[in-house]
Amino acid sequence: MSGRPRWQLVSLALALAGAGVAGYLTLVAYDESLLVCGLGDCATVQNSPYAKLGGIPIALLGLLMYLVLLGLGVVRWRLVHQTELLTSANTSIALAGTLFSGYLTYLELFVIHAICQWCVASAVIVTLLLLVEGWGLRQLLRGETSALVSAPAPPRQRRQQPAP
Amino acid sequence: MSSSRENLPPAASQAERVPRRAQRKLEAERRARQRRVLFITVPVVIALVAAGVGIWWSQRSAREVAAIQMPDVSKYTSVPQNGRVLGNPNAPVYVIEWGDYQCPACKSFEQRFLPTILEQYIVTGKVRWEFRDFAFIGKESVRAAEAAACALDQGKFWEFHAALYANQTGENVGAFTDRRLEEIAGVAGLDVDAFRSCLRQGKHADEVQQMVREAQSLGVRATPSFSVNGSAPFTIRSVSDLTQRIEEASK
Repeated sequence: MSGRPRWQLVSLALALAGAGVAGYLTLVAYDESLLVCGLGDCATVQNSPYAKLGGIPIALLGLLMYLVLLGLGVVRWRLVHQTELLTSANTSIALAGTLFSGYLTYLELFVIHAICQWCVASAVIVTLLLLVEGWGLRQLLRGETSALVSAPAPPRQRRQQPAP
Repeated sequence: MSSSRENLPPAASQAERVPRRAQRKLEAERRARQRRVLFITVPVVIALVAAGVGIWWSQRSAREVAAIQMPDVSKYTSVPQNGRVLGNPNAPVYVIEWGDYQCPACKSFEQRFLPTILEQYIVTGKVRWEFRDFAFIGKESVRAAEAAACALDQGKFWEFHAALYANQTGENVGAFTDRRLEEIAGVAGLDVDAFRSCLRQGKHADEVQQMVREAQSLGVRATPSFSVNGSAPFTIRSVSDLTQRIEEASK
């Protein structure tokens, strides 16, 4: 079956990369051993009031998001029948992630006035994931539509061929 | 005529077949549309709602963090205080800590390690501890340091010092604006009117600048930095780096 197109592999790779970045940021968030602030950066973004949601580090929520995307991606890789549903779910998660990352990047630029490079990396990864998943979903739905519309045509051709 | 009549049935069946095909096409399009709604519109709506809730929650969380808090300062009241200095004036070991009220490492040190050091060395009279300002992170650091000097005027340096760290919300994000400093002074039990005029007059501005310059000339480059019995300033990677120096100095 050709139901394992390359974009699914790209999506898995991106989700894995995102989980790596968010995992690193989660470790930083829980690392209380920071004992020196030098000139320049001092974990400004991670120590801002926006770094947590109800006491949970945003990095951890990001890690969970990437793990869900990765998990659904793996399931999709194995269950060909649920491709549309799983792609749709991943698109939805990636869209929410992209919008929230956009908000966080806005905070970094205009409220906290500091940039956390790994946070930006995560924002880029989730945006790429949205593009890949969205593209994949479009391909799936378009392929399905054309298959449905042109469905009556092939049997007739087949019937005509053996006649002569 | 008759031949044309004979031709009618096939013509009719062809005419029938065309609408059937069109119907099937319409049906397929309708189903495709339904699937588009299911697989595109529904997830987009869910994503928009989820992101909206996340942003709302984030704003609410940030406001909660910004609410003024007063920490427990009983750890300071059990030891002799003399302005910026804590502990027995005749203690054999004299430790200076340079800090910045906006520095998260200083906050971490203050809240996680200083209580143990207080218990083990300061309460027991082994160490005399002084806090000096190395306000380098930004304007709010300098303002917080000046405010702490105003609290010192009222004999409440350590109470205000602890309250500053408890209300640190980030660097240069408005944690230590004059208004918030006044609110912190309020919860720390200071005379707010006297505090306000002290802060507005910039009574201790030169003193703070002088302290920062002096620290710089001694070699302080990061916070928290420490000096034990007049040693060159050093930073620590773990609290044992400091306690070891204290133990060595008290031998």
